[in-house]
Amino acid sequence: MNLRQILINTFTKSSIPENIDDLKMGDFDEWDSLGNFNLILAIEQNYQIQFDIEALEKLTSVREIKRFLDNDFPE
Amino acid sequence: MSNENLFTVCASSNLLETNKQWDSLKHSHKLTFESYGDFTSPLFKDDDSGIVMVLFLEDLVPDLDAEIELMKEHCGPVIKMLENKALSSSNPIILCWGKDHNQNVLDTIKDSSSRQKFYNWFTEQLTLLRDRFKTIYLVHLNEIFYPFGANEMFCERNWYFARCRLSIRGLEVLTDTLTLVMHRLSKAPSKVLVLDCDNTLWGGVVGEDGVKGILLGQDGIGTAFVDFQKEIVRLANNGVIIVLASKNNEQDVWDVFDRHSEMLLKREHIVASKINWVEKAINLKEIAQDLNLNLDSFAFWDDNQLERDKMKILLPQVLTIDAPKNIFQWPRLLRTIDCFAKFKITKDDRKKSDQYKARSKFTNDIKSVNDIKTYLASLELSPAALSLDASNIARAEQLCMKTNQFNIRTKRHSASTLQSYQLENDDFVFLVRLTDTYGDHGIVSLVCLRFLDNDTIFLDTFLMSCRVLGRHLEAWVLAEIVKRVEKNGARYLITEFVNTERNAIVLEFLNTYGFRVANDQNYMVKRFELTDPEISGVIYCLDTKNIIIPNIEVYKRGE
Repeated sequence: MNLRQILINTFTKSSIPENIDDLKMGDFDEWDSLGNFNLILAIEQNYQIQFDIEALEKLTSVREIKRFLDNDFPE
Repeated sequence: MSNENLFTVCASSNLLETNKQWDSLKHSHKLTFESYGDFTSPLFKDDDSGIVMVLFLEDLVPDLDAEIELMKEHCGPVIKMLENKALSSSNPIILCWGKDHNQNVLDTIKDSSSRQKFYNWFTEQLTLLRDRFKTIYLVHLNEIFYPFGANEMFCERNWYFARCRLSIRGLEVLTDTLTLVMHRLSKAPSKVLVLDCDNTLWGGVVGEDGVKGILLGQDGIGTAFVDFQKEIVRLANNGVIIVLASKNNEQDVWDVFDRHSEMLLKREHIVASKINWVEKAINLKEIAQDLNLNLDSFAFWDDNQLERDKMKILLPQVLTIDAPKNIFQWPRLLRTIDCFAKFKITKDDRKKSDQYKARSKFTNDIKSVNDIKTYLASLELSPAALSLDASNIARAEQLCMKTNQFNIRTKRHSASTLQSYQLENDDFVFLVRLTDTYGDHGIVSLVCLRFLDNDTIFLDTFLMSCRVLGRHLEAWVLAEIVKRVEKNGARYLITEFVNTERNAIVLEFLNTYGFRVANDQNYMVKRFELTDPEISGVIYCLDTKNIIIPNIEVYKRGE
């Protein structure tokens, strides 16, 4: 599953645009801090990884999430 | 409108209410979540909603190393509030109660810590409430987490980041358990357990191996079957109706019941049985009518995947249990299986099977076999006829020696006899190999034919391995035989049925496929007797001219 699909599955009541690069926490109601945590958990489940707690604090936007996935968990 | 689907969920810490793990429960029930930490306010609401309350020891008191009396004082009011709620409301309260593991074992083996004492005390209070009020249900989280391990179920990272004690797996196990409980609140458990016999109640095939040859008791796998029977008897004692549906000669099965000393399951446990060669789905329909029960209260246990798949397609309302290949897992699976689990076993339950036994009676039903044929056609059954040769003669001899059920005359030919028949005519000895979507079954059938005279051929041997029964392979083999009869310029196929007590299925075959008993005055029979003084059974004859073979359409794929 790609990141956009994970966003769609996590935030079922919101419409996720084609281009997700600029999305961040707070952009829609569902993406509050709890929503953010659910998103992180879904990413962890999908990629079979676990972020450490420092990373979690920063992972509040698609840009940051992508950066972490690319740097820390290269394909 | 019933409100049995309405529940308020409250918890002592975060349960991530928007997480995916809740989706299926939200789909079947209307859940309202209190903000986490607030687990008491639903107890004061006067509404028509059930309550799910999830409590962790670590959340209940600020200091778990404090004096136990202090902790009791702190939490006593919670017990009181639960009691008041149960007194004033008839809606269910599902309590989920557990603790993380965070003690060194050395601190616990000589002395109970105060947290342990408090945990035990609180558990006891909840248990008392559960026993007193029929609306209170108590789920011990540590029991349900045990098979997975606390390290898997709890997650400190989630706790420090989101005040959620559980890992995602832990949340999943919790929601699965709640689903189970909430479904059982609104839907009764399965009432009937339908069992196959061979390789289900015992190891081996009684029709082939005999009462003494089956695996039951002894050691290893034989004891697993005994333990499995123990669980069946337990269910029977708890009011589950035990039914047999198996493809056997009926007498063989009852012989095991009567004569095998290791059988824990007894005749008196069996409320109804259909032991025959008819499709199990048809048998189940009849049993459901006889017992006046709905098929959706039936659960079906069979080791044979073909039978299970047929049941799933033909009677989807029946719960077909996917029994694991490994028999060792069966006793535990049956002991823990969801479909028979219930909150309470009543005295009535214990009498139930007697009541049903009285009701069980034989009724006739119009049988529809069309859907079975459609299903069989979808199996991509691919048989092939093989000549006898060095590579397969050992298998041919083995089939001759071992096959007891589908075996027309049960003549135990040696390899050299088979070879001599082949030398008479190469068309007249052949083997059948079968492949279908379940895999390659290998060589499963043997046929030997012999000329009796110019227009008559003697069916000396026709046998099929019991593992491929139920696929109408006999139709295809008969078609192959008819081809060879015609090719050699003959018309009649003659054979004898020798009753061995185990081969009733052969009689059904002969009757279904148009064989007729040849009467004594028939000139052919007289010749036959002259030719072969060994004949001792009933003589059957089939006229192959313009023959229409039943069930052959199952094999007409792509022709």
